[in-house]
Amino acid sequence: MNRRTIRGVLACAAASLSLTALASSHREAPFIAGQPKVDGTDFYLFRSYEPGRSDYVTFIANYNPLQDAYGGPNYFTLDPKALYEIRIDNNGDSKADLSFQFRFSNTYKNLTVNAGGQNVAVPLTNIGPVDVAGGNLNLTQSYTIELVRGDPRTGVHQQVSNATLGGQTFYKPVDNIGMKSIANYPAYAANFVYSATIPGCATPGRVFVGQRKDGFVVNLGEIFDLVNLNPVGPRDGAPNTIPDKNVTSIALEVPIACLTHGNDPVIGAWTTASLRQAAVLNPDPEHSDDGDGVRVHGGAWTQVSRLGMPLVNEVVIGLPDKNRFNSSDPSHDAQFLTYVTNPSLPVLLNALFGSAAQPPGTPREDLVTIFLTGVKGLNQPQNVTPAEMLRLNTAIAPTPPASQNDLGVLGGDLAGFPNGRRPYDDVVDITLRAAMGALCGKVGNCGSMTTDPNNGLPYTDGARAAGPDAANAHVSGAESPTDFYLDGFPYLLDPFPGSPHGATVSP
Amino acid sequence: MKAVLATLLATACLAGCGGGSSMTVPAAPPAQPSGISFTVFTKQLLRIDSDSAQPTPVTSAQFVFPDDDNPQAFADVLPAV
Repeated sequence: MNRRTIRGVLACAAASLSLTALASSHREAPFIAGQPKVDGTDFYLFRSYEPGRSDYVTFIANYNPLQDAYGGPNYFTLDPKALYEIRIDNNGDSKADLSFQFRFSNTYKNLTVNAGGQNVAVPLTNIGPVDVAGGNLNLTQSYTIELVRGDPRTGVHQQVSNATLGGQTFYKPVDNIGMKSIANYPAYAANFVYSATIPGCATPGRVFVGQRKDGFVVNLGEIFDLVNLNPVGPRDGAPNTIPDKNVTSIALEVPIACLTHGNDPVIGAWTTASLRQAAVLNPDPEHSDDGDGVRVHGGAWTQVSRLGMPLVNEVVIGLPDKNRFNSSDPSHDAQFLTYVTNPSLPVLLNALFGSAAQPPGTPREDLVTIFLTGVKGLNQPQNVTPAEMLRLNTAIAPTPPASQNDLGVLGGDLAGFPNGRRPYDDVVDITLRAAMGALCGKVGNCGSMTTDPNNGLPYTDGARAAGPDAANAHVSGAESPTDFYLDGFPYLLDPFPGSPHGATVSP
Repeated sequence: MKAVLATLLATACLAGCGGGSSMTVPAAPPAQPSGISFTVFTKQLLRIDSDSAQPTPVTSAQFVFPDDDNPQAFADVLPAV
């Protein structure tokens, strides 16, 4: 075996050893950018605003970013060799007390056709129209869910049951291949919303895992091109640059009573993805029934993705530490404190826009409050250890969709970001304004500054989701000029179809 | 856990370093890379399938690749699984 081959044979063990990753957004860290199946892109946490469900909290963890709907024939399954988690801290100590762990399995049917007297395996995902039974599907993906109380690795594991189908197996709908394969994708996908019996929880929750339209709205290309836009222009003057992308959502709804601890209504949450520490590449993959056979895995679960508050690893953590952040636990966040107290983003914006973007003083106590402790009286736990995660005060009633303000708390809507995060919240604009000092003196000082040095300038990336308070938002490409989101679980729109090209989705 | 990790790394290192002492060798042998045998290390990692295990730290590990020219390397690794 030559040098090149042995490197391939033994390669991946080292790859996942010291390289780690978190994902606060799409492709935000060097390592995770090459591992889309475990790249967490967005994490949502909010009291359910679907009518009749206000006693529940919804978590949505998105993975596998920037999917083009036509990406067949393999489309965008989740990784059966990965461990996906939604972790919850319900006592403010920065450590997970509850973890919902999702593990996926692939079942290949090895569908064949008779070709000249020979039964030959087909190369496609489906060989006919797809229904809920999936008879024409070559691959189905199922999953199980465990609830872990205590440490995610050594705590008590209990199985979540499928109250809809019975048993402990749940199924993921195939991606939206196209309208000839699946004529009515919303109706098809609705069959995969399950009632879930959660151990120790008197009332069942709900779960859905499947492809959705990416609900994140952002002027992405311009931001990373030296903020090639007018940062104080109209909020809806630029197109969403990812209007036609899909994503894979892990959506879970749990009764509030099963999440909180004692009389503290505040919970913190984040999502992680982990891979086995070693993976060996097989230089001679064999025919296999599970479609893999190219890799052998072993070793401890090694976290490669972490996402709580949006945009943290994307625009707060420095490039040399992005992989490290992705592998880290909130309980060790002191190592990243300087990135929050002395952020680079305001300095960069000042360099680009001069007096239109005055950098607030440091250290940034306001950002410590927003990102690490929560705001006292809003979403700060009764006893809090500073750590980065989304924090939600479950005692604050949800705002109905028709009344939501996409600036969240900054817009006077206390049920929105940073008190949790809803799909409609414009976290880019909110984060820009907070970073530039909108809350200086209100939730903490900015060095010696006790007021906003930019006097409330309405910073924006110019891209905005259409919604109840943005009826005229700029839409482009395949986007619908109506509401960008569903008003009920799983809240994100059904995905764009792979065909016909250019087809739209609507609520 | 620390003891397990130390053993894992030490075993791999011994395998990579080979035995003997250069003090007893009159003439210097061909350069022998020192460090942790990647093959042995990988075999040991692949045996771990526990959900409660902690990842093995490797930040300061120096790996050597004694099987770069071993045509049986993959077959040797697989039985570890």
